[in-house]
Amino acid sequence: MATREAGKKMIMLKSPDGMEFEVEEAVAMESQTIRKMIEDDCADTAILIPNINSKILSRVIEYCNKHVPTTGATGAAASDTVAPAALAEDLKIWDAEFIKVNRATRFDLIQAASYLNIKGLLDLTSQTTIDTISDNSLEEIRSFLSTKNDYLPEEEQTIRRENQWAFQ
Amino acid sequence: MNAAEDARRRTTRTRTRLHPHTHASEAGEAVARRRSTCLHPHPQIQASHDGDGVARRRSPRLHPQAHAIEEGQGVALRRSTRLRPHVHAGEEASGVTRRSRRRGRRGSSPAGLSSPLEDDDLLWEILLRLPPEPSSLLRASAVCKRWRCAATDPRFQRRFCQHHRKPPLLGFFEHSVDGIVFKPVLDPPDYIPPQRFDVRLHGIDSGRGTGVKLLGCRHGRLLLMHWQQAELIVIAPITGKKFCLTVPSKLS
Repeated sequence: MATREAGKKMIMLKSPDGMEFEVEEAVAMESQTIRKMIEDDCADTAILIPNINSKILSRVIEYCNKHVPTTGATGAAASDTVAPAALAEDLKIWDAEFIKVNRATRFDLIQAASYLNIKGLLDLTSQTTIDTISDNSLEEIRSFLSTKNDYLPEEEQTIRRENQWAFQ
Repeated sequence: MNAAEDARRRTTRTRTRLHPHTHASEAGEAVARRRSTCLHPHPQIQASHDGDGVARRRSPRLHPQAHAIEEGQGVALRRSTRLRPHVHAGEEASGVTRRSRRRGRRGSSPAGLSSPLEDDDLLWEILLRLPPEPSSLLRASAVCKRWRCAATDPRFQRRFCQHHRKPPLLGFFEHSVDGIVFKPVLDPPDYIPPQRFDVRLHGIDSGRGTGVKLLGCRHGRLLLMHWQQAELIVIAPITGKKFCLTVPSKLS
């Protein structure tokens, strides 16, 4: 349900496990999916966020809270004295801490960021995943991401042979 | 014909500068038709410059013809001691609109999978963040078949270009005693063997006395002049495409 508190419009988000989160509209609108719902007047009552459990949803809200433009947020570092570059740096450090989660949580965050269409969070989670595997061997990548190698040995050999230079 | 005039004018120079580029989208299209060579490096072959060390200004222009004209007029060259990768983002704009459509589809089935890697859209999102160096997608494609499907999809490759904007410099083309050769500049595993971009693969012998001159290189394409056959040849070494233009006799 949409309510007003201290002059700010609040939005209620509900996770499928029954938890409710009241967030500022500006924070919720960091999600393009929710923004659309709000703009289409579909957000009069609580918005149910399917398939994103309360643990992940609270992390997502935490992210949005931090990243909402400072003019519209109360909790964020809205000091006028801080230079934009310093704020960006601060956010970077915050992001690096935020994403220090296990693989399962990170994957859940990727799915949530994708569904809720939060570009910054999708960038952060996807890039972190890539960064953790980019220097690894193919075998390590497969094992890290639990991806099954479905190539026949000869198929894989062919692929490697075609562009052998890339596997050196 | 501007290109021909340009060509003639340029032969007075001792060496030819090269600014090759190739679009991943194009690479992708070529790739999709082939069975095996499914991956081309997204990054573009890049620039080489001759003795005077002049770099062209950055330009998001798509068409090599545009550059030929510009060269012919000798317009607005900027001196630079090194070559810079060219920005491609603007050229790849055609891929942009797909995003919203894909998002919409994704929205209908947000999760419920044990890993985002099982969702093609999310797999794309993740693989898009691979480094732009040429070995990235090739290596990713060897992980499993789904990754290969993603990495070889022309739409993915367009987005990959778009995401990275600035393609890495792969190397230079230049004349040597053996003809036109490719000089790679990246370290392994991104070192592209010179023979991969050998113009002889396109049936062109560019050695001494063959009358084949290198005129320019833009957007992953080489512009060659075959004087004896009065022919202009455009080659996209990454995709293997080749076009020939006969120079009208009154111009040759």
